Amino acid sequence: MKPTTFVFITCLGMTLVMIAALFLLPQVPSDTVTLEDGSQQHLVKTHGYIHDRFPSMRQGGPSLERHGAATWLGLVFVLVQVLFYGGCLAMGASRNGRLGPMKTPIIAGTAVLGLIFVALFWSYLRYINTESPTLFLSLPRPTAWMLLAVWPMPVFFMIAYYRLFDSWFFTAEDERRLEELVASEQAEERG
Amino acid sequence: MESSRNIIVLVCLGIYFALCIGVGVWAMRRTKSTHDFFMAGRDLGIIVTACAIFSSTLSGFGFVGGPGLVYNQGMSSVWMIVCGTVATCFSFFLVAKRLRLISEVHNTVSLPDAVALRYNSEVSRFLTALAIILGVVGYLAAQIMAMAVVLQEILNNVDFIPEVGIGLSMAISCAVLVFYCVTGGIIAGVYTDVVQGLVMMVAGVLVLFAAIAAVDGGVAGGVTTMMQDDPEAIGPWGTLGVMGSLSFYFLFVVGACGQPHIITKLMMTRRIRDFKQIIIVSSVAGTLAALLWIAIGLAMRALVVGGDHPELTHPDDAAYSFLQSYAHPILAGIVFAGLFAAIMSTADGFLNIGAAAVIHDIPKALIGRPLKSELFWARTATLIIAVGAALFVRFSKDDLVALLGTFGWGTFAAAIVPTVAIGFNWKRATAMAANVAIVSSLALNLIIELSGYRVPFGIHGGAISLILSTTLFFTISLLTPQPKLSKSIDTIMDL
Repeated sequence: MKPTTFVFITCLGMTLVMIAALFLLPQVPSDTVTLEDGSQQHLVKTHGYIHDRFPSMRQGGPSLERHGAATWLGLVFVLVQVLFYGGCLAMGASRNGRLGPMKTPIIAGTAVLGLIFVALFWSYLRYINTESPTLFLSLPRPTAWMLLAVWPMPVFFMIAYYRLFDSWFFTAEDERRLEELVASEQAEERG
Repeated sequence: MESSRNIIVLVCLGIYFALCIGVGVWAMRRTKSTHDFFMAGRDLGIIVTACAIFSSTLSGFGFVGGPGLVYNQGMSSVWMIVCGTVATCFSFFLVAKRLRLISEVHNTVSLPDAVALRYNSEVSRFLTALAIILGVVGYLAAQIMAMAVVLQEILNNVDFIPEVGIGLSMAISCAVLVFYCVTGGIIAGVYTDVVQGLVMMVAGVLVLFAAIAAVDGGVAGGVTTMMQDDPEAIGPWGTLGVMGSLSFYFLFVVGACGQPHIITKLMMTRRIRDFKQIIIVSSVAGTLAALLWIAIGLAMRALVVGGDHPELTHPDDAAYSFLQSYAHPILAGIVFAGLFAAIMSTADGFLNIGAAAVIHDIPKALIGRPLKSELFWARTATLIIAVGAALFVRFSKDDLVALLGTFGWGTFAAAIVPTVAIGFNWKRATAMAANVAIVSSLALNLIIELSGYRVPFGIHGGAISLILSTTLFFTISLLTPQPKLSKSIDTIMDL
């Protein structure tokens, strides 16, 4: 499958996720609160609400309950996102429809990033259901996955870019063709 | 002590302003043509380009709004930082080489120039320039407001300086910005970016240590305090929740390669081969500078929740309060200079692309040629845009500026990502698809922002418009006849 076709399919996948989030999934839980002027306000807690002691902050509240099915939709969303990223990187790295030596790094890197997100979700479910969660390097475990794995992992793609730049992304032959192109454009401009 | 702290901060800021002015004077001698003014003569080295890219990415929002968001929402907004590594890969894999090649072969001076050549369409050029101008107005206004507020706060804390109003502090900070942008164009912009980038990196690392020292029990102590208060706040999704956080991640990964003030700088490198080093340098430097965002936000939340610091009046006070209360005066001075560096490095990029759109792209799209005496008009347009944005900020409602500031990133992302990042790597993409993607992104972003519609699950409106515009771009390209590319564009897309 061509990278562009793959990216288009993942785009459609993300559109479906957005349709589900915007129109199909209910936001739970919600409360109806009475304001000082006597009017009532429907408060949705799905994406946090004003902290009960510090009004300049927000709080998350009863986590799994507030997320409802959005937790699983979130997992689908991020996995489709990761596939989209892999597809886009493949689009940028392909030469005449071929990925050449970049094929393995892109496929492997995309798979690893996807697995990291699966581990993050799994770790989050355990974290939120535990009374006294343990810390890893001073961080809650799912937060550690986020900061210590999701963040640095794409450096792998950068290393592949660095190592293969001269032999794949822009070769000596490409440089020669570029010089020819510049010369021919300049000649055309001169008339 | 408090008095000397404020004087040290003011001195650091004075040194930084003097450096910017010095660079402006130096760059003026090197700016001899429009090509120098907008493209820095396409002669930037590895370090300069890398610093220009990462420092333009971290705007005043990163130094003021960012820590405020972490304080307010917990970990949710940290996804805007965590995405940085993938975002850098996106920009280099998809955009860097193609833009630089088009720039070299066709001697382009702006992003709309490259778009017009790729799609062989003046309408596409016009719409890209229009999207840039709309985004620039909002973004620039927000940066100018941030500069003025911080400078006023600093000046009013120094005993021997009489009360300074917001108008005067705006005039002082804008004068420095306008001076180096008008005299030295983008050459001054990118070389001040080097100074600014170094200041931001140093500030990021030092603030991390100061934050760890400020919280009782260090990182583990702060995390435990926050967990006891609300486990979600320090969990990966923060208080915003899973869908909202992941929409940040998506918008900021993909959107990075649609920010014109950043990707235009990819057209300015001396050699295409330098990209392989620039990707590493800009990513590492950006990560170090971003530590400030996370460290201050989390430290202030832990300090307030733990009862060690009074509650902040407004989340955006997080950085200022932290620096005044917990940082050594010299560090506070460096960070405040870093803050101005972050704001100015973004603002100068906006001024430059805005001026290019006004005096080069719009006339070219409408009358088929750029203005005569382009360098003169470039300087004049830079001045007018800066003054116009300052007046707009001064006389508009506060929330309008914030609204337009938010509008900027999402608008650029949704309009330019499909057109440039996808379209420059896919020969099947058509001008009609690019035009529809730009118009739909502008319309949807405006509707979401102006209607005040609260998107369910805290999903960012910009993420929705980005997904929609990209999907439309693919669909319309597949439904319209395959375009015939010019020989040079066809060759460039094969390289």
